[in-house]
Amino acid sequence: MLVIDNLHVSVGGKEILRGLSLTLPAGAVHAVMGPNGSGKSTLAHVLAGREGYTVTAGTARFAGQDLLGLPAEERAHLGIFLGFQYPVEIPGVSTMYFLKAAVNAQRKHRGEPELDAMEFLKVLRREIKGLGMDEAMAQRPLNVGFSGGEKKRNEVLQLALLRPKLAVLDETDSGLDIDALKTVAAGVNALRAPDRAMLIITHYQRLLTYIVPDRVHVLSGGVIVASGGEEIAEVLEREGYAAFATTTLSAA
Amino acid sequence: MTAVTEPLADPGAEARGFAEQAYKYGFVTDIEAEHPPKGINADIVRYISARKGEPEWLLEWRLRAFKVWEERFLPAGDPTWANIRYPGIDYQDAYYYAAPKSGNQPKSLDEVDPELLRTYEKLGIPLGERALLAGVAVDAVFDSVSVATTFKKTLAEKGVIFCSMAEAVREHGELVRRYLGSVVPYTDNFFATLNSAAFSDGTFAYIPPGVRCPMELSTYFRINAANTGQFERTLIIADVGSYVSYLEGCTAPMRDENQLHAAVVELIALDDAEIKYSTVQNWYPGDREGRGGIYNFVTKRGACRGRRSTISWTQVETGSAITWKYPSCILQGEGSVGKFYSVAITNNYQQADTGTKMIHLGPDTRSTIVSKSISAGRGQNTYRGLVRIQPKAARARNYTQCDGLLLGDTCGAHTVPYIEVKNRSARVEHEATTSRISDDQLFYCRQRGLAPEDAVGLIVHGFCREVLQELPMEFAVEAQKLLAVSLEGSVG
Amino acid sequence: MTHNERFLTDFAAVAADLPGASLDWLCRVRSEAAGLLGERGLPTPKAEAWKYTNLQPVARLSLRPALTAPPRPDPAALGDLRLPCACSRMVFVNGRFAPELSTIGAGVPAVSLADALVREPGALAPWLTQEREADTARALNTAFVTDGAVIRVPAGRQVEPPIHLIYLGTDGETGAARYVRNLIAVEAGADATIFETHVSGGDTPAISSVVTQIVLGAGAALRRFTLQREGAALSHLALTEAELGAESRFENFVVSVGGRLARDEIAVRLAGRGAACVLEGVYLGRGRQHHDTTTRILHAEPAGRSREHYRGVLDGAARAVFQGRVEVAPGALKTDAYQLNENLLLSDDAEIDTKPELLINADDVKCSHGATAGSVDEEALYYLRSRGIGVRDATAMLVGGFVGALIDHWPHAGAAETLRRAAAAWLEPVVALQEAA
Repeated sequence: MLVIDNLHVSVGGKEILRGLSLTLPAGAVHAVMGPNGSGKSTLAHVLAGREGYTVTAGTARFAGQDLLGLPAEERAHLGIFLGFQYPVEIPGVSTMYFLKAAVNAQRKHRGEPELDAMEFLKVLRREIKGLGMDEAMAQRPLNVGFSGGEKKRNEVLQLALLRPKLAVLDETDSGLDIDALKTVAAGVNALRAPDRAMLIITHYQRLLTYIVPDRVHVLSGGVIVASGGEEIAEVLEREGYAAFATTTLSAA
Repeated sequence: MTAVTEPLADPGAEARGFAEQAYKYGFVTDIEAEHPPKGINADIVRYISARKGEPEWLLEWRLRAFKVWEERFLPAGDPTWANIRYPGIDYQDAYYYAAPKSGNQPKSLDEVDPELLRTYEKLGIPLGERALLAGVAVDAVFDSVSVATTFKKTLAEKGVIFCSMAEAVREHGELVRRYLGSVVPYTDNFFATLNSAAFSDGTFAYIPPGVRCPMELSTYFRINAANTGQFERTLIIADVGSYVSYLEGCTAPMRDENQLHAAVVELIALDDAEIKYSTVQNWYPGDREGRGGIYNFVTKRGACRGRRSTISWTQVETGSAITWKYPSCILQGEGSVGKFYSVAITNNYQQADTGTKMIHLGPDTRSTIVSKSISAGRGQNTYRGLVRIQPKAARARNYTQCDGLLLGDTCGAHTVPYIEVKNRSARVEHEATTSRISDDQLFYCRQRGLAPEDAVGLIVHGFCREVLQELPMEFAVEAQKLLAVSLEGSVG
Repeated sequence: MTHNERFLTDFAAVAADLPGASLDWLCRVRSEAAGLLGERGLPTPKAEAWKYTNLQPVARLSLRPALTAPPRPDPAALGDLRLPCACSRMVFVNGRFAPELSTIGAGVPAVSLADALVREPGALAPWLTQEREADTARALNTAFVTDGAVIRVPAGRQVEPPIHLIYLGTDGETGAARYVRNLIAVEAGADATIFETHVSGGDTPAISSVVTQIVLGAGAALRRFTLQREGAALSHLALTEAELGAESRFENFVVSVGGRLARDEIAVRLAGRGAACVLEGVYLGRGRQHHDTTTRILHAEPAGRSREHYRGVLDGAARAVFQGRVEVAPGALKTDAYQLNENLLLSDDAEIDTKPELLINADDVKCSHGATAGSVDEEALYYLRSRGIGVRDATAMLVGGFVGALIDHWPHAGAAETLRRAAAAWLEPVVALQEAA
């Protein structure tokens, strides 16, 4: 589904990703773990098509298609979803209005009829309920004044509504207390499906207790320095990223 | 009728005679055939008055205005304090009484500029109305006369007077005489004074005591009845305890070849009355290179004469090459309320210098100002506002919020508020911000699948929401579409 | 004779006796300035920058500076003007440097303008001839200037302790005008603190004009504290022009309590990338005082930051004007500008006219301003009273807090203390009046 090969990315002249390779099959859930500054968020943003990231070498293909030349919205139309580490506030735009616009933009692209207000409300209510959220939230301006937990739940709500083929979740656990974390994880787990791949980007092992990945990659210094099963996360939990530091050096 | 087209030995005397004659014999019918010469002078003023069959007092009033304009304003030149640039206007190179534009009027939609039609389509205006708005001979496509008639009947049952200014002068002369110029005196300013001398027609509305006007009044309904031209004059009086909502300018772009518009609007609210005045202004803004477009110099002012009266101005200004307007409230009555909600967009080479004046005279008066400006392309957008608390305005309150949004690095957004407080129990708060759409906001929307222009539209809509929600519902929907159309081409 | 003609005759009468009269270039600059005045007169409210401040009463005053040396005051008279900290001190009496009252620390690069015009006139020429006059109020100073402080802090130098400039008016009865011009250069990486005190007595109306030109080199820092305590009949016209180099920082703090008419005008140009400026102040007016604070900040280059905060308290029939303009030039991206003006009106006859202004010509900026006017917060007053505090004390507490909160965080303990005391002294009778009312 997603094949990243030897990806080199610079931001403002500084190389952040230095030959990252990663393959994510359909239906798989992989975790990318790494310390601060290892390039985790860069990876997420490069996949989603944020401007300001210069790809100097390598490729990223999604369902056989070259991703890197596409604008952000077209990647979204292909089914790529980024759960933001810091969801953006947009004053004056109600959450519901925004969600409907996003859902219909994607439906339109797929050649499906757009949902009218009533149809959309039905879908929205169902998902909101499923995530144990307060319906009043949909009337509030998008992310404005939301608590950290509300913002992250809102991201999972969008994940549920947009039903992407690839979900990249960037530090979805940051800023969440344990109850919120469980709710968010449950929401994500409910969306695991054979035709939906997920890339969980996180600093801490904590989230992976609740969203158990098929495979864990350790990102350090802009490259994957180790890959393996759950046991890798446990090593990290015990010994920290230092356990992989030597590998980092040799890779650099 | 030939009298005015021939050279005159004593034009003044002739025209005076003509005025009396016209007054005596009533309404002039054969207007198609005549064109007074270009330019403005006392004779043209007399001509206009005569053609409209006006009474002597109104002619005198016009002539006094003209004298002030000619002697005081013209020598000093156009006002220069606003943040707008334009080549000098030759006031003698314009027709001050334009006959209906039948001569060069398109015969069918095929003759209309396709770009204009595309705009209408985007706004979702029905085909028949598109033709009407594009200036296609109206009778052929749309029987607005019958609509207007039905409408008038409903209003008449409530005692509401709603008609053209010319008709009001004929049928309700005393009301007009009492209130005309009582809010915007004929000496007020360059453009208002010129309007007072030369106004062509306009709208008159009177809501009797205790009546809640059963429908929103709109110029839309009398497009066919009055081709109001460049010097429009509007007078609305809400008598004790009445309510009226007035919509100006349709929600649709109006085509007009006139370069200069200098309208005057006067509102009067008596005790416990409320006037809600909404404008969506989408005159021709000029092309992408800044050629052409309307110069819109408008004086709008409302007097809250009565206790607990309310006047609220809501405007969405997307058109015109130059917009110069400051819809204001004179808060005279105890406990009266003034509101100003504005969205102004300037794209390409448009310039807007707009805002409001809230003059607090009476105790316990309150005002709210919410101004949202959006600048794109090479557009320049200035909020200019005055909040004045006079010594007797005890416990007066004002809250002002001005926000500017910049799209691109070649435009400008400016905020120039004047706050004058002469009463210690007053409380005045002013806040202003200027920023651009953040990359984060744009990226977030695009990541969810919205095209860049839709993302900008969405964010701009959110930015303007406080103002748009003040508009009547159906107006708001079209205003929102208009925002998107106005910003076309401004996003990379 | 019209006022305008009088500008010229007054100038002609004193020109030969002004400092630097033997310097051709200076004579030319002065007579051009006088000519401008003769032609246009002082600014009128028709000029937008003077909309709320009428200088016509000033135009009627004597323009001639005192040219004979006045009797020197006893150094003891400086008593309460001294800062509660070590400092170099330059004292100017009636617009003339008084060396016997001054103490300039060894190596402190400060001299008087009149001396500098004798010793190194060439160095001053670029300052005094640099551009045409912004308006005729400035031209008035140029034409008649008698003295001032010339401070040049060489690159990399830190001047510590602060330099205290005291401008003392003692000839309040003669009505002679005072004209001071300060030239302050803080070169690259240098750092200085300046404290200014303007004080005078007497009931005869007179002009006190102060123009200060400041240039900060790259990475330089200047903190400037001003206490304006002119006599009740004085017209105090202060203009500060500051040019800020890259990454430099200019901080200006003012407490203005004196004068019949006091204008504090500050024009700052952030001319280098990443320059920063802070303008803060308090103006307190009573009687028929007129306080005008006019600031213009031009962000000419990217990544500049400006912070402005002024608070005013107005009693009696006092009137205050705040005009604050922040302008962002095209291309000055990443500008961050914030401005706030807050006013308390304590009497029915007081008036505030405030005009915060944003002119933004670049898109990637963060600019905002706010302005408020009103009386002491009724809720807060009620809250304090409900705790058993009388109206008098509660009002005093709120007004004192309003003013003090701003001064409290000013970054020089000695200066802040002096300014706080000046403000507190002003507040005493206000509180008494509140009680009476």
